[in-house]
Amino acid sequence: MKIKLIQTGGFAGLTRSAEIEVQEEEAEKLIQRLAPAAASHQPSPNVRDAFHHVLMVGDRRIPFSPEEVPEELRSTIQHLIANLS
Amino acid sequence: MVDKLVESGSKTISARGVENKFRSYRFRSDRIFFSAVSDSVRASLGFRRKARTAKPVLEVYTAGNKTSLPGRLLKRGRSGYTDKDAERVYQGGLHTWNLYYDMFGRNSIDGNGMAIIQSIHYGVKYQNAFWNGRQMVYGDGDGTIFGSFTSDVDIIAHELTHGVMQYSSNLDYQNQSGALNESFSDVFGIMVKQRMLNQDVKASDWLIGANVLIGDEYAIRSMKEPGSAYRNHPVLGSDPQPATMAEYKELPNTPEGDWGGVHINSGIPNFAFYVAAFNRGGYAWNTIGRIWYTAMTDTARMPHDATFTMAKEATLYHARQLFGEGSLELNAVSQGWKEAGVE
Repeated sequence: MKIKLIQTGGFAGLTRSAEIEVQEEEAEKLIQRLAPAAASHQPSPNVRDAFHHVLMVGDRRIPFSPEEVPEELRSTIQHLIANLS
Repeated sequence: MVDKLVESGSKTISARGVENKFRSYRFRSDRIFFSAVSDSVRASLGFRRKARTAKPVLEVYTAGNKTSLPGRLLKRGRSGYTDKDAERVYQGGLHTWNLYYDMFGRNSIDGNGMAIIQSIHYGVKYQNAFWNGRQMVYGDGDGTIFGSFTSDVDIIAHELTHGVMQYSSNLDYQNQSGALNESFSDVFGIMVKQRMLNQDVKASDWLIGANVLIGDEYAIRSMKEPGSAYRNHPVLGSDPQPATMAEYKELPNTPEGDWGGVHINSGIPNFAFYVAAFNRGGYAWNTIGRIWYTAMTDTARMPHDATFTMAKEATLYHARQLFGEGSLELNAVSQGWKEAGVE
């Protein structure tokens, strides 16, 4: 199944995205590990020019911070970030 | 001569009298003028009192390609930092502090000598620079699209100005107030670059991020011609910034909409500043820059939810206060907002 990472904001204010195909199990794991934190995910009030990241897994929209991704999912997220266009 | 004029009536001189002198001496070094103005007169003009012994406090850290902040403090040797990025942010921070202190009487980010803390080498190939509420942070870039975010002094001054705003107008980071927040950061960013290079408004390229975006024909933003900073870039496409209200981009107030397009619609007040400064001529920081500084730090006329129209009114008000009715500066500011289509 396809997952898509969307990166917005930053100093340049660009919208960039990357998509990859993953196994159903991997997609489930991403939802399970990232969705709970997404409910309370809020940008810090005084941060300026920050990036914002959203992972789209099917219809699920999951805002998250790459710095807080669990170790086991890090390589998938890093791969997506490295392929943003 | 300036000293004599000011000293001759130092206790009784009126703000109006100083404003007249202010106009008379606007072509001369502001540093000399400013050093001659007494604290009470400075206060009446809305500037801070003189902090005669003020010196900047600058600290540079390396995040060591990790994301913990601030990271490890770097030591500066007699000939500067051995790390090129460290030296750049040190010098950029110093030039920014100097502009705020020399020209506007402001001692650092909070106006009270706050340490300027900067961390370099944040993350791995991180393609951004940001202000985190306490300090500035710079990534190395990926080396293909973006170089190091320490490559442009205007980016360093842009981030530091986000800090200045946090301690003054603190404009909400959404919609028009957010675009103003971004624009003020670009305005002070370009003035630090111009002053460092001793460029007047005609000599300046008015580009923000001319080095960080790799490729001679690319920059991040153009204040002179918003929407022209990059065209047909293989990855980024073309610069979406508008220059006038007719092209204002209505975007959702969400992360995906960049909070109503704060980095996009900033092109409009950026263009207003450019037109005003260019029409006035000379060094931007001596004239229109002063107006923008007093407006940015005037929390009554520039509240946290200010609109473009309120920014226009605030700058017109301060142009009148600082330079007088019928002045070149007031006309230039009026023309700037007019050409940007802000009513």
